Order: sequence, then structure tokens, then C-alpha cells
Amino acid sequence: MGKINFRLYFIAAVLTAVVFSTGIFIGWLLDSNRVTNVQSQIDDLAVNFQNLDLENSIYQIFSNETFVCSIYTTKAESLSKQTDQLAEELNSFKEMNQFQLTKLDFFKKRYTLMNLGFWLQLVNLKKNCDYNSTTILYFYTTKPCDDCAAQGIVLDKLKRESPEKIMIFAIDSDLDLGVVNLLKTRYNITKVPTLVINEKNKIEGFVSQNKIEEFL
Amino acid sequence: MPLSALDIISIFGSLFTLYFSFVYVLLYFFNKKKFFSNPPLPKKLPKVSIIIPAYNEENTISLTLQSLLNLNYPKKLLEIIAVNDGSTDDTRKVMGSFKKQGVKVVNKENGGKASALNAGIKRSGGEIVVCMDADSTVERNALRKTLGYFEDSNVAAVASSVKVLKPKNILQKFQFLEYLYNILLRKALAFLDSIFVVPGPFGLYRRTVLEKIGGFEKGNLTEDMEITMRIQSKGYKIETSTNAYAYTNSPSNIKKLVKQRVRWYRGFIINSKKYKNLFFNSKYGDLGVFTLPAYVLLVFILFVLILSMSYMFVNTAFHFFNVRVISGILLTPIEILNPVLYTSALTVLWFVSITISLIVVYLSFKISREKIKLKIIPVYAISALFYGFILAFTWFVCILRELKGEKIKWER
Repeated sequence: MGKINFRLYFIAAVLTAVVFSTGIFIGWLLDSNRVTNVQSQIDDLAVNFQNLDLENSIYQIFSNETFVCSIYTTKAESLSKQTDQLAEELNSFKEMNQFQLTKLDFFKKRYTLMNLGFWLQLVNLKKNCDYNSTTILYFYTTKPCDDCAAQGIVLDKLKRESPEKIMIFAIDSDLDLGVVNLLKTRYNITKVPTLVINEKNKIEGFVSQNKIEEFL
Repeated sequence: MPLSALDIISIFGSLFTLYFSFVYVLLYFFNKKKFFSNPPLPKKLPKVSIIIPAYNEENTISLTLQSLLNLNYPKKLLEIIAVNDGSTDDTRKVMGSFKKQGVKVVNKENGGKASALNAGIKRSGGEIVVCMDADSTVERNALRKTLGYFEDSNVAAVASSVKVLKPKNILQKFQFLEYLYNILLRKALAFLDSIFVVPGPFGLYRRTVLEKIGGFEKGNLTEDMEITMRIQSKGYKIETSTNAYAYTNSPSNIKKLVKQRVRWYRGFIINSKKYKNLFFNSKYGDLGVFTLPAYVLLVFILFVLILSMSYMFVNTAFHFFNVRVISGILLTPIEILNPVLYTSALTVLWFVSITISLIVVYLSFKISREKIKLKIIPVYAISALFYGFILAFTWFVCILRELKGEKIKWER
């Protein structure tokens, strides 16, 4: 009695499949593009840091100084900008990617290692040279955390207002990395967000802009 | 980020809407000409009886009757029967004033819309019986555009295309849009022999078929859907015209809208149960294996999607404001978003679904011969969520009541 339009349903299914897979393919391309971007930025930054180390070693041989202030002071700001940019790319990777998610963890570890290496140099710089930028270690989590999001906004604003006076090092406290665990133990980090300002002042929970500015 | 439960729901949702939209769009392109044109009028015009059941419609009935008197159809072949279903207001008096213009008035005790329709049909003599709501009007040439379909002896009913009469507030404008979409949908379904409601505002029936299958079912919440499903279950054809317009009053506030929709949706559930043998039954062709199951599925998807989207929306908004309050920083400078950095696979999928939906909306306007106002599109897009939420909520109420086995309150 009734007829069934199999042809119609079939064509509609094919069209849906084509459109859907095209969408997925475009998404995959975008995701891959992000992976390539992050990868090349990490490589770039790694080259810059290696170069810095080497320059430092070479200076040491020629001048007998243990730490060469001029190299770092001139480069600190541009390196900080570069690490911040990488952090942003990593963030977009985390928010947007559906594909190649396993790479994120690895990228974050590399980023954290470089970032903490940079932090260490700045600590040395402050100790040995005429350099008085404020360094902030910022422990956060990627789990839902409104205080962390708010803290992020405040730190962003501070950094934007005085990029040369403040150096922020964001550390994902859930990252399974020896050096992160070491710092967490050293500063006895039990909750997020926590700020460690100038390596000695630990403040737990959200900290307002005014309060941070007191330390600058 | 890995996919959340909501993401997965929305992927399935957009996949299904994509598929159904393609079915309608394909039907449109396969039958483009027939979408707009109607078969020519029969050489020998049939006698037509129009039945208007009314219960307390003193405000709207005169417009309805006036539009019927204006119909472009030979007066001697046209019979207009107004049935006063025991109204307690002045409906009887208003109807009486039309007597001298040839309107027949039947006064009976209150018994519900179906009984009023049956009483009118009983007193009528036309080969074609038209059932018309007392809160609706019809355009002059509606009969001339629809009667040709009855030349096919297997056609038992013809639906008109219903539009919202003078939409004023945003809620009515939504209904306006929804009705246009339904015009497209109904015509597409006609090509699948799958129309499952001939809407009340202006529906034509072949008298012999009505007599064979019996009249309208008394006490049914949606007697128009019931009789349509009955006609379908007997294997007759149902057609529709995309340019024979009837105009109906629409609920002007949320409370009235929910009340109307609870009746419709509950009626759908009840009549689906009554005609459950139609579902997944290849004997009934596309109606059984595609249209009815697909409709239920779509309702389910709409329901889940709207509820989860509302949850997400509220949740995101809450956290957004919470973060603003904690940080004390209301606005962060708008950074220029790098489209390559911030476009995800999901965004692409959403974009595709929205594009296809817009095509469907465009086709709805086109076949209904309405002009699209571009500037209202963003307003629609934003508030569609809100309207969808009302409808999803209404479905929720209906399903709940059905599960609880709550008695049906028949309101005249």
C-alpha cells in the first residue's frame, strides 16, 4: 500500500555524511594547524633559551663573571613576551582541540620546564644584578575554579599595565612533573590559586590587584 | 578539550537536524514546481459546505464569517453553517446577524468541538466539507486553490497553509515563523504521503470519506489530528496547498501559549498511542517508517538539546559573572580573536548546522511568499533559545502528565 522513498533517505544520508565529515575534516585541519603552531613556538623558544645559556657560558670563560647581567637584562622582556604568547597558544589548544589531545600534556610539560628555567634565571638576575622586577609563581588548576579564572584576569591586567615590572610564571599544579612537585613541596602548596611573590611571600586564595601591587 | 556530555548531545542533535533538513530540502528540489502550484479547478465545481463550530467566540466569529462570505466561489454552491456549541456569551446573537446573508445557524447544547463539527456536518449537503475554526479567517481564493486536489479520487482531505494573523509581540512573531516552517514541512510531508495533522483553521474533507470512517471523535484533545491519522490509517491520501492561506489568532502570552501547546502535544501523545500500529509499519510507507518516528525523535532531540543548552547557558553565565565579581574587573580589553586559533571542530559543525537551518528558514519564507527582513534575524537567533525552552518545557509537562496518567481536562 504505502511506498517508501528509500532513494530520498539514502541521498539525505549521503549528503549528511559528506557535510558532517567535511566539517570534521576542517576541524581536524584547524587542530593540526594549532599543533604545528605550538610545536614551532616551543622549538623557537627552546633555541632562544639554549642560545642564552651558551652565551652566558662563553662570557663566563672570557670575563670570569659567574653571571652576566647585561645578557639577561636586555633579553628578559622579549623572552617573557614570547613565553606568554606560547602560553596563549597552549590555552587555545586546550580549549579548542578535539584531536591530538595527548600532545597537550607533553607540550605543557615542555612549556613548564622552559618557563621555570626562565624563572630561575630571573631569580639569579635579581640576586646578582641590578634588576628588580617582581616575580610571581602562580599555582592554578585546569579544573573548574572561578577563583583561578578571576586571578588569571587580575594577573593579565597587571602584566599588561607594567610588563617590565612584573614577571608571572603560571604553573598547572596538576601537572605530573618532578620540578612542579618539588616547588609544591618547597612552598607547601595545598590549594589553588596560590601566589608566591618574590620567592618568599606565599598567599593562598584569590588576591586582589591592590594587594599584589603592594609587593611591586 | 575532550568532548563533554553536552558536546556529544549537541553533535547528535545537529547530525539529526542536518539529516531531516536535507530530507525537506531535497523534497523541495525534487518537486520544486509542485511546491508552488495547485492542480486546476475541476470543470464541474463541487458543492462545498463550511462548518464553523464556536464556543464563546463573540469577538472573532464575525471576522471569520465575513471572510467566508467574501470567498470567491459561486454562492449557490457554497453553504456556510455556523454551529453555536452552547456559548454563554453573545456568539448566538452575532451568528444570528449573519442569517440574512445566507449563513445557516445551528444552536445546540454544549458538547465540545467535535460534537459541534459532527452536528454541522449532519446538516450539511456539500460533497466537500470544510471545517473552520471560529478564531480564523481565510483568503478569498482559498477554495479555488484547494479543490483541484480532490480530482484524485484517492484524496480524502486537503490542508490549507496556516499563518499567524497580525503578529504583534515577539512571542507571536516566533509563532509566525514557526507556522511558516510548518507550511514548508507540511508540503514536504505531502510528497511522502505523511501529513498527520490537517490543521483546524481551514481543512477540507471529502464527504463520502467522512461518512465511511465516521465523524470527528468526541472528547479528543486534538480532533483534527485524530481524524487525520484515522484517514491515513485507512490508506487515503492527504494533500496541502502552500498558497491557500488561512489566518489564525495566536496566543499572546506565555501562559496562553503553554496552555495551547499542552493540548496539542498531549493530543499528539494520545493519538500516537491510539494509532501506534502506524509506527514502524511499512504498510503505511513513509508515514510509518520515517515521518512519525522521525517526529518523535526530533521532539526528543529538541527536548534534550534545549534543556542541556539552557543549563550550559545559565552555568556559563553564572561562572562568568562570578569571576567578574571576584576579580572586581568588569571588562577585560577585547582581544582580537585569531580565527585560526579559536575555531574548533565543534564550531565548524555548529556553523554548518546553522547554515542549513537558515536555508530551511529561507525556503519557509519563500514558499509562504513572505518577505525576509534581514535585520530581525539576529533577534530571532538569540530569542529562539528562549522560545525553544518554552516548547521543551511544555513537552516536559505533557510527558510527565502522561506518565502520571493524569486525566485529560477537556476544555471547550
